[in-house]
Amino acid sequence: MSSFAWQPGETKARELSKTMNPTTQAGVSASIGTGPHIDVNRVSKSFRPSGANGRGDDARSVVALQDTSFEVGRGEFVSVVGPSGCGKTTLLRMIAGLSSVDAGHIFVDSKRISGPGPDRAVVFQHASLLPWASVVDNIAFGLRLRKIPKSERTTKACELAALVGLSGFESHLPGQLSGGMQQRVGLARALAVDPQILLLDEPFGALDEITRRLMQDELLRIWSGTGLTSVLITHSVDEAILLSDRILVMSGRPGRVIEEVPVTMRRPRERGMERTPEFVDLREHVWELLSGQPAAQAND
Amino acid sequence: MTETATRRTTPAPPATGGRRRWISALGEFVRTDVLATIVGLVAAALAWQLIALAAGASWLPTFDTIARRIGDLLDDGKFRSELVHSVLSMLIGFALAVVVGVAVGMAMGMSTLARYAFSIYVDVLLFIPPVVVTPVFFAIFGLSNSAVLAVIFIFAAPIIAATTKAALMNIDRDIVDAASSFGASRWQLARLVVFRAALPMIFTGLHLGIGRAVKGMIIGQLIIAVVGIGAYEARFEQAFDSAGLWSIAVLVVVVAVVFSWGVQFADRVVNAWAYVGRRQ
Repeated sequence: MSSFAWQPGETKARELSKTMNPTTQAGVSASIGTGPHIDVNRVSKSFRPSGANGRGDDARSVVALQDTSFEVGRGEFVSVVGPSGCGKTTLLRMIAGLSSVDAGHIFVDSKRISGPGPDRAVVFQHASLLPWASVVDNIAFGLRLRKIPKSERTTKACELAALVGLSGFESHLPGQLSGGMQQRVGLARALAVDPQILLLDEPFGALDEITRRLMQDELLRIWSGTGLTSVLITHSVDEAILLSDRILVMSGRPGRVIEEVPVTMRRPRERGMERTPEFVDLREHVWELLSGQPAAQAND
Repeated sequence: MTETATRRTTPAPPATGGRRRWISALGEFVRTDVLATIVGLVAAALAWQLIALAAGASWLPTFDTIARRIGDLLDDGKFRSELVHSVLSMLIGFALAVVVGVAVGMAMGMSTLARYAFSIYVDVLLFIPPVVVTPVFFAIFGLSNSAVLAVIFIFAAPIIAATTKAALMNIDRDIVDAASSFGASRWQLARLVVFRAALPMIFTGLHLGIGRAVKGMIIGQLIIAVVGIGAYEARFEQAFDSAGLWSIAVLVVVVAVVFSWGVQFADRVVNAWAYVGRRQ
C-alpha cells in the first residue's frame, strides 16, 4: 500500500478534494497557504481550587497549560494526545470559548475569540443531549437558538439524522438510544450549525471497542464529505493516527506541545492501515514521546 | 451499519412521537399510580371494617357507618358548599405557593446572591412548624378566608422553594455546557435547558407541597372554626361525634389523594420523557 507524502498547497488541495463535497473544495483550495484557521498563541491556564475559606487558594494553583502554541490549517484534521491531566480538554474548551485564557491568545480566522461562536461546534465525550428532546429536536437545538424557522430546522435535522445513520430514529429520546447512537446525534447536532471548526473532546472515549471503531469509520466518512477543520482530543494513539493529518503530542502538566507529528499516510484512510509499517512507526514514535511524560497525580 | 448496544441488551422500543409518549405515560399512570392507590385504599377500608367490628369501640365506628355518614353529609347542600369552598381555598393557596415557591427556588438555584438572601427564611419556615406562625396570620387577616389562604401558602411554599433550589443546583452541568457551546444566551439557557432539566424534581416538590397544602387547609380551618369543613370538624369535636370526625378525616384523605393524582398527572404530561422506558 503506497504512502501519500504530505504535499502542501495545490497538490494537497487536489488530493483532499477527491473525497470532499464541492461546496468545501473551493474553500480548501483557496485557504491552504493562507493564514492558519486556528492560532493558539502562547496560551496558559491555571485553576485555583477552593481553600478552606471557600475562596480561591493561590498557593495551591494548578497550572494546566503553560505557553502552549500551535496552528491548525483550514480543512486540517489535528489530534491532540497527551497523558491524563495535561490540559487537553482545557485547551479544547478554550478554543470552543467555554473557558477563558489566563495568558496568551487564541485566534480563529485572525479574530481573537472571547466566547462560543457560530463558527465552532463541539462534540463532547458524553453526548450531553437534552433528555426530554427527540433526536431531531436535539440535532436542531443550535438552529433553534438562532431562531431558524421550525420547518426549516426539522428538515435539516432529518437530513443530518440520515447522514449519521439514524434514519427511523428521529422521534426517539436519548434514553432510548445506545451510547454510540447518542454520540452520532451529538455529531449531527454539531454539524447542524454549519460550523467551520469541529472540536471533538474524546467523543468515543465512553464507548466499547466495537462501537468506537464503527464511529471512527463514521467520522472519517463524514469528515471526508465536509472537510471541516477539526481538532480531536483523544487518549488513543491509533485513533489519532487513523483520523489525523497531524498529531500534537503534549507534555504532562503543565501541558505544552512537545512535538507536532505529521501523518503522511494517504487518504482515504482504511482499516488495515494499522498493519502498515508507516502506521506502526508512527505509533511507536508517538508512544516514545508519551512514555517520557508523567501523568497528573491526584494530590498535585 | 450494525450498532452495538452499550446501554441496553434488549432492542430499543418502537419510535414514539411526542403525542404518543404522553398517551403512553398517562396509560402507565392510570395502571400504576391510580389503580395501586385505589387498591390500597380499598384494602385499608376492609382492614378498618374488620378492626372496628372486632374492637367494638365507640371512638372507632365501622367503615360502613362512616360511609353512610359521608353520604348524609354530601346530601347536605350547606356541607357541599363548604367542601367546595375548602377545596377552592386550597387550590388558590397552593397556586400562590407554587408561583412564589418556584420563583424563589429558581432564583436561589441560579443566583448566589439570591441564595444568600433567601436561604435563611426558607430554612426557618421549613424547620419551624407552620402552625406556630398561623396565629400571626389570624392577627393580620382576622378570622377570615384570607387567613386560611395564608396558612396554606406558608405550609406549602417553603418545601416547593427548597426542592426547586435543589433541582436547579443538581442538573447535569454537561448539558448546560453543551448548550453554551452553541452560543445560548443566559435567558435561552434558563428557559430552554435549566428550567426544563429541573422540572422532574420541581414536580417532586409540588407533590410534597400539595400534601402540606391540604394539611394547612385543615389546620387553618380548624383554628378558625367558622369556615369550610374545618368548621364541621370543630363542631363534631365539641359534640364528641366520632363518626362525624372520621367522616371528615376520610373526606380529607380523598381530597388529598385526588389532588395528589392531579400533580402526578401533570408530572406525567410535562415530564413524559422521564417515564419512557423506565420499566425496561
